[in-house]
Amino acid sequence: MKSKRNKITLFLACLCAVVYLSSKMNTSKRLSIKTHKHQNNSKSHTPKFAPKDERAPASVDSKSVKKSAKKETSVKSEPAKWEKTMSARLERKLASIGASSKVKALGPREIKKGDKKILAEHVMVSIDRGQGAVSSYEALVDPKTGRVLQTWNRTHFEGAKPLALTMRALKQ
Amino acid sequence: MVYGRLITFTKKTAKAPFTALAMLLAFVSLASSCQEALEAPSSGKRDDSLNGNFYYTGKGYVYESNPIIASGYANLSYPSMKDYVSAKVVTTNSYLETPCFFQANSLATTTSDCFRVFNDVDSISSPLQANNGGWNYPIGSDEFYQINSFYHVNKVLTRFYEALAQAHSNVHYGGGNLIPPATKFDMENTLSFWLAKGLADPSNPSSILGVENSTLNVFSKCYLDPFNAYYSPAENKLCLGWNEQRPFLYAAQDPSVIYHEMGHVLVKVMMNQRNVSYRFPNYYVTPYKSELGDLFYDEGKAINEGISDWFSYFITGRSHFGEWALGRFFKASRAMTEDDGIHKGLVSKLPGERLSYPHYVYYNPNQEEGESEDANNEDAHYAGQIVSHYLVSLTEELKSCSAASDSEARHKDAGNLVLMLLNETLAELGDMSAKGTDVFDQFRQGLDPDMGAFFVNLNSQESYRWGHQVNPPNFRKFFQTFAKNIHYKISSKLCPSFSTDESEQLLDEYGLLLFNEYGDMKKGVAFTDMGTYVDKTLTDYASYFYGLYTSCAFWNPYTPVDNYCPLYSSTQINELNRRNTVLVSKDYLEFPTDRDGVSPVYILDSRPEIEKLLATLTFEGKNVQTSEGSAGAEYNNNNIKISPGEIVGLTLNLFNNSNSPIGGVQILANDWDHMKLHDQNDMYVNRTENRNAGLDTATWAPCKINGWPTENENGMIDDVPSSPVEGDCGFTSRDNFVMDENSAQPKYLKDAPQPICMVQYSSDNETQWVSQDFYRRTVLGLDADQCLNSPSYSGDDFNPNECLIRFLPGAEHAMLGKIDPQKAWSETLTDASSASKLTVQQNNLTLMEVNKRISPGTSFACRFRARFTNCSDCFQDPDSGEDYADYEMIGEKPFKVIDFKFTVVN
Repeated sequence: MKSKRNKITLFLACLCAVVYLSSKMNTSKRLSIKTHKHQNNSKSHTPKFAPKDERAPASVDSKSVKKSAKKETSVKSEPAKWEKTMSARLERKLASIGASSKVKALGPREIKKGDKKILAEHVMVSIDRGQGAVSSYEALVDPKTGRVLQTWNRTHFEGAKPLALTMRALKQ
Repeated sequence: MVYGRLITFTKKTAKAPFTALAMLLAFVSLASSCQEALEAPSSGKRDDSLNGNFYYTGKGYVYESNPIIASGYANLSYPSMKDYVSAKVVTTNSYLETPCFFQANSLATTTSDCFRVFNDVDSISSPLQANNGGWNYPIGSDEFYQINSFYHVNKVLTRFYEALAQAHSNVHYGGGNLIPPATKFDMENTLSFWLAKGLADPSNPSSILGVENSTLNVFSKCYLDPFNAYYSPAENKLCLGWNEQRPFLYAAQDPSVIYHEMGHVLVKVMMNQRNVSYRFPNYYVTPYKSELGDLFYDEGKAINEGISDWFSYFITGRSHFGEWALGRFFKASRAMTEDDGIHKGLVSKLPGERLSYPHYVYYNPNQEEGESEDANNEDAHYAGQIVSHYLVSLTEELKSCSAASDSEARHKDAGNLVLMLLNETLAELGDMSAKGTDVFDQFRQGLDPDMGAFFVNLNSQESYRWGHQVNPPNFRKFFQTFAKNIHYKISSKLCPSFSTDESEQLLDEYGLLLFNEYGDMKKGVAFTDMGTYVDKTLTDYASYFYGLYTSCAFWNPYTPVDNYCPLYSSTQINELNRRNTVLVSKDYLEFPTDRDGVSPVYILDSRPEIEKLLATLTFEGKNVQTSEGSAGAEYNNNNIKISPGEIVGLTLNLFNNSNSPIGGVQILANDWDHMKLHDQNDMYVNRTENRNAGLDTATWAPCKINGWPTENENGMIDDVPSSPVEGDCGFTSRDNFVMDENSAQPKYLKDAPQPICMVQYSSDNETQWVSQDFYRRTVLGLDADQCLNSPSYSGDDFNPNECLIRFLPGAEHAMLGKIDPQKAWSETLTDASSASKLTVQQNNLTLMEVNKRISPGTSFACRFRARFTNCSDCFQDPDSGEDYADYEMIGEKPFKVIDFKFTVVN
């Protein structure tokens, strides 16, 4: 009886050991998969045929640019005056529908106006009006005044209901 | 890939004890079973979620069709979809993410993942991981819907790239290309076969370091209440809706919905392919991206919806979209062929019974009897049915060009041709560099991209305004370009059996033969230097533009040699083919102020509604920034009058005095060239620094248009009206620029577009119409900072001619979907002859702000411009028979000028 119990104990211990080891193996596998994933991605993103003479600098540069852009964002603490002005105006405008907005600065851009080049700030605006309805768009902003110069890349909602606006005959 | 031979449980939320127990069970189970990966069972069976059938295969279960189609049961109430899954290769990647590949001239790969799939917006840290090289997750689980979404997004993209490569080859190679193609030639360098953006140099804002692709994040269970879906190009987000109202219902359950949403993404891609240019080692990227559709409802948006519906047909071959969630629960599915049972009334494929423009602009086949009176049907999706029905009919016609024997292959061949046409058309219309083709792309030739010849969207600086507001794609512009491409690329090259006559007849069946010529002899403006130009009024125009072709051929290192000979005239349509399409002169668009019981103008001036409207437009991304301090909704008194300080919505109740419906009525309140300087030497903006510097400030006066204002009323006429020169009323700006940017002090250009409203001024027993600037200084004594859009906000762009009355930039154009014959707009909407109230939607009105400093009793006149899509003389000069050039849209000729006069009262 005792030896039978010992055998069962031994069997369970072995089983636990197997489970433990397999669990360990899985963990390490998961890590190795992640590593592999990145290797795999970098491999798959390299065109099989090298481009003629053209694009190589772009993607190489893009990595360094992205890094430095991130760094710049992370050290940024106080929003610029134009950003505060713009955010405050947005908040005031959106109050009646209970929506909130976020302005994300994407960096300065130079745009042409006639012969002249002017500086503008490129931003992305996100507006959350609840129930999952989040719209976003990009804009160029005049850094001197916070004025929005142009918006584009607006969200395309399916099945959005129009506002029902009651207009009345103008009394002259 | 080495995954080991034991089962892994990779769901990130799995708890450790549960994992251990599951693994124990799995181990014991597997120990006595075959360890080979098995083929998945066929449809109709459900596989156990824990077996190893899909290991190392990249396979998973997906819904190949939506529940209605899969079950064959139209009234299916609950998706017992486990009975309808099938095993498909999802991806051999380790995660639900993948780059995209496109091969035209050479193989190109996106610089990052093309798309990834996530569950919801809160779970964006890492996409789902494969389960031992397979995708065997429980059917109906969140993971399952991610896999399903991935499969269908990948499916539509793979098919798109196959067709795009074919399109690229057809328009660039093989000879017989008689007009310069719009399709970008070097997409592998510009990366514009997918969403691409420029990489700005953070240390130098004028420099573009390169381009990179964006990754589209697809969310398969995106919380949205009400049930919905959306595509956000700014955040590269595709949201497939779900909510707890019907927790079993996912937008991701219907592949046709996924294809439709991806259709919007691909429209974006196609429209913006020309907005990146490359010349080793530099890139040119336009500051803005193009979009098809600008207002809540307009025809660009309807075309966008129609094309996106067609994408569903392109993949499924089925001419109905959204049967499951949209059709079964929301009565909102859509047909793409007249034979569909959803249609009502006399809709059929018989001559004259197709979904024709503009008759069917408001047609909602899902609407029940009795619903029509209250329902507002100005909906881009329903208007888009005209487009989808036409595109499906065209695809069916082009199947006869395929040599393939089976129907699936014919569908594919015809789909390739239609996609080529769409791509060519969208590439041209969406070109924000305003060149329209690589052939005239100066940047690629090492020259200044802001100079040279511009053929679409006016010029590189005003292109966004032109392409989205002043001259945006409507049914005429889109189908004229589309038909041109059929003429040159299908009928003259790839499928001569589908003749130009047949093409015109099919367009006409849908009321879309809205043009007299194909616009193939492009009319543009060339800037030879800023300030000098070549346009069609000049004698050297032809030689200059034809000189762009070198010996009837064009070549540069990046495009193949082809014979793009200049065209000396545009190709005319065959008038005999126009049987259903009716064109109406703009003379029949009227603004009567004396029709009994019919108000000429409707107004919105209640504070809560204006605040809600401003907030909603802001939410939609429209720039409706008000002049805080000088006007605001807090001044709105809801007295149905225009009062100082208010922001009011205005709808012009235009009247269609013809016997045919008119569609796509465009109302513009943006600045245009309708005023003239009193003295052409006095050009400086009337602002303090100019006056202090002793500079001669400008005084503008309205040009006499349609006899008003008379010369006694201060109306300006030209010295030699038959030969107008710069600065004259008869001469329009060529570039739409306002300020002389070369001047150190703010200074107008001679033909600067001006705000549309003027003020009545009484002096010496004479009543005159004067500029707002003149009035604010002379009568009101207002300083610039008391003006609307004052310099503290508008900076160097301050224009005192909008000091008192101003239209908000994001709401200075409106669209009325259709006006029935012999009816006013209000009568078309309500069917009531004397409505004192009118329920409209945000695209129907313009927003005007009124300076609080205006004295009550002051009268204004605002010069709106209006036109409509099926207009015979709004896009084509009736004298020359040629289409107007883009720059002519700065003036009055293509429009009906509507003078709206009102008095500001308390």
